[in-house]
Amino acid sequence: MSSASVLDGSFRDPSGHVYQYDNRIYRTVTAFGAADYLAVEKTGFLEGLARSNSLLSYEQVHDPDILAQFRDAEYVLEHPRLNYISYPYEWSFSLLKAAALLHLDIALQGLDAGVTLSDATAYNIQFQGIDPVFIDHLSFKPYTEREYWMGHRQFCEQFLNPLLLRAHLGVAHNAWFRGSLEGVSNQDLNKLLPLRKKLSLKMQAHVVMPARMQHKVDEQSVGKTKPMSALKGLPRTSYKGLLTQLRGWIAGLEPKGGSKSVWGTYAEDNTYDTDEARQKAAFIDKFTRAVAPDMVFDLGCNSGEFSETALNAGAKQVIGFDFDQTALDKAYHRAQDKSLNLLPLYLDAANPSPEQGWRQSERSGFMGRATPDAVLALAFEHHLAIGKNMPLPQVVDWLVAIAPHGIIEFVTKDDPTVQAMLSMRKDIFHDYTQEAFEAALAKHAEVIEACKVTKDGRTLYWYKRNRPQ
Amino acid sequence: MFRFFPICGGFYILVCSAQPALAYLDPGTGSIIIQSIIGGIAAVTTFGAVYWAKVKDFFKRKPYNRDEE
Repeated sequence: MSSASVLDGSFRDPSGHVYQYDNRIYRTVTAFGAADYLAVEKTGFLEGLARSNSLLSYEQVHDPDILAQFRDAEYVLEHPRLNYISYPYEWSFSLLKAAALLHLDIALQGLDAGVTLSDATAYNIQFQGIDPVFIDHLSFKPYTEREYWMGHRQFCEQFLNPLLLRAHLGVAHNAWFRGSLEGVSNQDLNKLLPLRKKLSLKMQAHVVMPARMQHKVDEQSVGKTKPMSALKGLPRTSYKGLLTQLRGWIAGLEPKGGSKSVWGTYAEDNTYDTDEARQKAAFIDKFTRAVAPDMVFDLGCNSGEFSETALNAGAKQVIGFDFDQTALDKAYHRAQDKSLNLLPLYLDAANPSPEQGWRQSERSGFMGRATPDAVLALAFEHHLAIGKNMPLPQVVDWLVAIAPHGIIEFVTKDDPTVQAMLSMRKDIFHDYTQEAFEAALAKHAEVIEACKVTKDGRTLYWYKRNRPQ
Repeated sequence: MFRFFPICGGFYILVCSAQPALAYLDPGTGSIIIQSIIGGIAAVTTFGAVYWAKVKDFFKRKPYNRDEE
């Protein structure tokens, strides 16, 4: 049996690390973190959070064989394995907002229980469906009277500022956050906000004044700043005030220009009444029942209509991907209203999340992070092959590599969508033909069934990937 | 309207003076130094409303009426 391996992304905190051993997930608590962990555990706070599904469940390990793997640990906890890990730069506005509110709710409950959070990183939150869950059990420590909120700056940069970017400036946070893994700094946002946006007390308190103060501190020569112990501290009421103020502010944030009539009305996208959509739904239903997948990737999920079809046909979980922010927010609301195990994430398929961060392995890339059992790529390939000039065989290779079973829709050149895409540019896609598509697919997979869904020739291909030679 | 300009001007100086600098200190320092100020204001604005409602409620209370017994 192999030895336990520490998971990437779990090395910064000396209080403990997360390991994979024998296909199970363990968290060690080192001598450094043991006292705080024990003190917090005794309050019953962690257990309460886990019971309400706000915190990933955990169990202390007593099995000597497992403990022998972690000789330096004071305690070892076991966690259930999360099916899919996602990062804040892949979350939509709705998901980031849900994560922010969970963090604040936990911090507020903690304060009442005499527990505080040592940091405020968005990477401490994961999603099960669209439900956020806190995953770092060693972020908690006993609250000391008049202590400062150490995570304030981090909370603003990783939650508040990216949300403000979309709410006030109409700019999605994803590309920025992916480039800057610590989020959007106060100084940067402060430079971008127009003056009228800075007139609010909240904006002054959480963005403008911290940015200004940081600048002042940075300009002081080393050794001139007072040590923290010389400062007066923060009364508990003020600490709670900060958290409550931010909670109210964030709860009311919505994407700029996303009026309620447009935003969240996924039902308007319901196209089941068209013959094409009915045929697609029937095909997906048949495919899903036959393959019985646990995890499905729905590439170009739009408002999640066909993700829902797959779930209703027995798929256990769907991870949806789209690059349209409005579509993602609609899919979020569909999942919320209908309690679907659907997680809609941002993906630019022409440039998927890379392996990045410290040593280029702290945050894993899109491929290899999970092995879905099936993939749906409906009305998707032409966005890559025509929209982004990706060679059609490469697009097919990439899609088939994602999952052993799937449905890929081929959109012909005669289709109105492709015609619209080509109307303002030269047609350089002489190799873009149905025959070329079928030939590329035949290289890797067997076509189980094909179904033409429009008179222009849009065709769904149900494939089964060949076993590696 | 004219009274608004000095306020705007004050804010303008406040908000436009943040410039980049080499940061040797933890970038959270700026936030910590001002926390007692912004925390105090936040506490007054968030919880103050609750106390104010209680004060208003106290004065709005109906006088004790024996006939209702």
